[in-house]
Amino acid sequence: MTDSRDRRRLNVVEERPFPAYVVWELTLRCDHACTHCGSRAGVARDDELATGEALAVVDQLAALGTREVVLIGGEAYLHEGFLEIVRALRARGIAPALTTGGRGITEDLAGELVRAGLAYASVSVDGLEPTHDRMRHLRGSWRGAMTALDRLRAAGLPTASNINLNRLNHKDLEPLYDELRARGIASWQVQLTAPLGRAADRPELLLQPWDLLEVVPRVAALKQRARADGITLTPGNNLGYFGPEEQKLRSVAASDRDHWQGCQAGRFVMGIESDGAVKGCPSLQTAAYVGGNLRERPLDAIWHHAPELAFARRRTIDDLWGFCRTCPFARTCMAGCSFTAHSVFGRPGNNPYCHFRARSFAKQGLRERLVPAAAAPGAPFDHGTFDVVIEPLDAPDPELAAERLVQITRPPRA
Amino acid sequence: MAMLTCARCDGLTPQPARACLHCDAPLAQPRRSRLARRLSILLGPAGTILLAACYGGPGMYGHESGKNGPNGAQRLDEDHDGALGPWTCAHAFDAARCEEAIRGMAPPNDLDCDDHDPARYPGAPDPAGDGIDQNCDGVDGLRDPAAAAPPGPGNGRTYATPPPSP
Repeated sequence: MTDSRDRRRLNVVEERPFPAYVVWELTLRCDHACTHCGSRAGVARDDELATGEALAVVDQLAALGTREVVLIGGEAYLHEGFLEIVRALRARGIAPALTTGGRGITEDLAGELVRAGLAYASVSVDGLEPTHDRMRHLRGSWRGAMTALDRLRAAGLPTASNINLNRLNHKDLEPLYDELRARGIASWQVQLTAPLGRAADRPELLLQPWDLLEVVPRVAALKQRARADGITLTPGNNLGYFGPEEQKLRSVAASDRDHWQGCQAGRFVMGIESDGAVKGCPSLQTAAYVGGNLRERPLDAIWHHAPELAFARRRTIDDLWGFCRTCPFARTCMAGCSFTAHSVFGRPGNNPYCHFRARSFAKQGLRERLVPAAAAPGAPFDHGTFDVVIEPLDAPDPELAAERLVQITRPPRA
Repeated sequence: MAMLTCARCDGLTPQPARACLHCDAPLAQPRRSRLARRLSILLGPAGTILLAACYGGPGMYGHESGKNGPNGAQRLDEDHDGALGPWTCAHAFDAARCEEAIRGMAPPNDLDCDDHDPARYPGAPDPAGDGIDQNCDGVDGLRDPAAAAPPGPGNGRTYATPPPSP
């Protein structure tokens, strides 16, 4: 067995695909109703896997060689069998982890998590207190998240944090890092808010592609600070792509020379929805990427035979379009994160959230602006579509209007 | 796809290329033996990546220093006095491998000699004659009063012991 870093560091060029890293939504039930939630969590799905069914899935994951399972929701701890599933994962040699908003992490639960064998817990913190509470639609949410970090750490559990970066919170990035460092986190994942689920209803929340000109170097600089502090900053799969900071951004150790190697959905990453639907990545759009349901087919059959999971295994440059088709990094990058590209244009293969692309336009004094074209229908992991407007780099940039952070494109339900 | 790293901006450019895509600086062309080229493919801008997924977690990694050690070893601050105790494998995923890794490690220089007593930590006030080594220097009182550090902040408390009055 290898250490935890080796367990997640894979040679994606040499190795045959297997679901090494799985993100499993145990329930869609949630104690938050976040304004940017991709799965529109809040109420449980009608037909979620019961504990017994979930335990059978654990066995199937072990048989496929899964190394790490991150339990999410909604809130995973709101599933009746949560702790039993954590124990089962640990017993089968799979590292169980938790990503949580932290609201329900009591001292007792933190202790239970340690005893159940949780490997680590990551608390989602989306900015300083005013920003976080606004995004999470709940006053006191930030304090709850920070208390959760303290309780988890006090219980002896390694802690981490993650942030969804957007126009509302990106100014908080550096001071938030200081807050999280003071709370003893060991790693921090920084990813972009993509127009998925509720975030698709709030386009003004989203970064515009040219914002990456400022944001990516800031994240890279923070990564160097974090490294000196003994904290691993991990860029999410939808952040970066071949700016000058690419190797700094993607490498864990200063001596590593890593870079983005293309979407790993269905190659070494897999997502499971709470009703048993299996996707190549937890954030992929349900309608387009579910390859089967665990109630109907064994996981092994879905993983090896469902074409919906295989798209990234056989993707070629012919599957790319737009800027990405002609990009000099196309053969390696393969248009970045699939779910992010799909959430913008309704299909993958062309991703405007790219640092190299934004720099290429900026060199010509231009930028790309995303303009909402079609609203999202309002289901978990859904998306709308956007048009791209190419305009001068110094064109006016309307300020974020607070009162417009609600349901811009999708009309209220009757 | 093989990549060249720019000496000026550190950016990557796919081969073949004569100038950096990012800063237009000339790129040094690789002139290496076949063995070196093969090694470069193996070791160069890596084919490895760190798995991550949005809606997932950022994972935990072994660090060379600080509170995280190899193979999941950690140093905890159980008495919350700002000083870390010895390496432990209490929360390592593979405890046996972790124990093996820390077995030969020297005690850290900043070791909290009693991580269950918040009054004992490196730099704590250590009055001579009470029979207790509060400052973790191995003796009751100051091992070397002349070498006491000047007072200053550290983890929210004053770590240094004031020199004795003349």
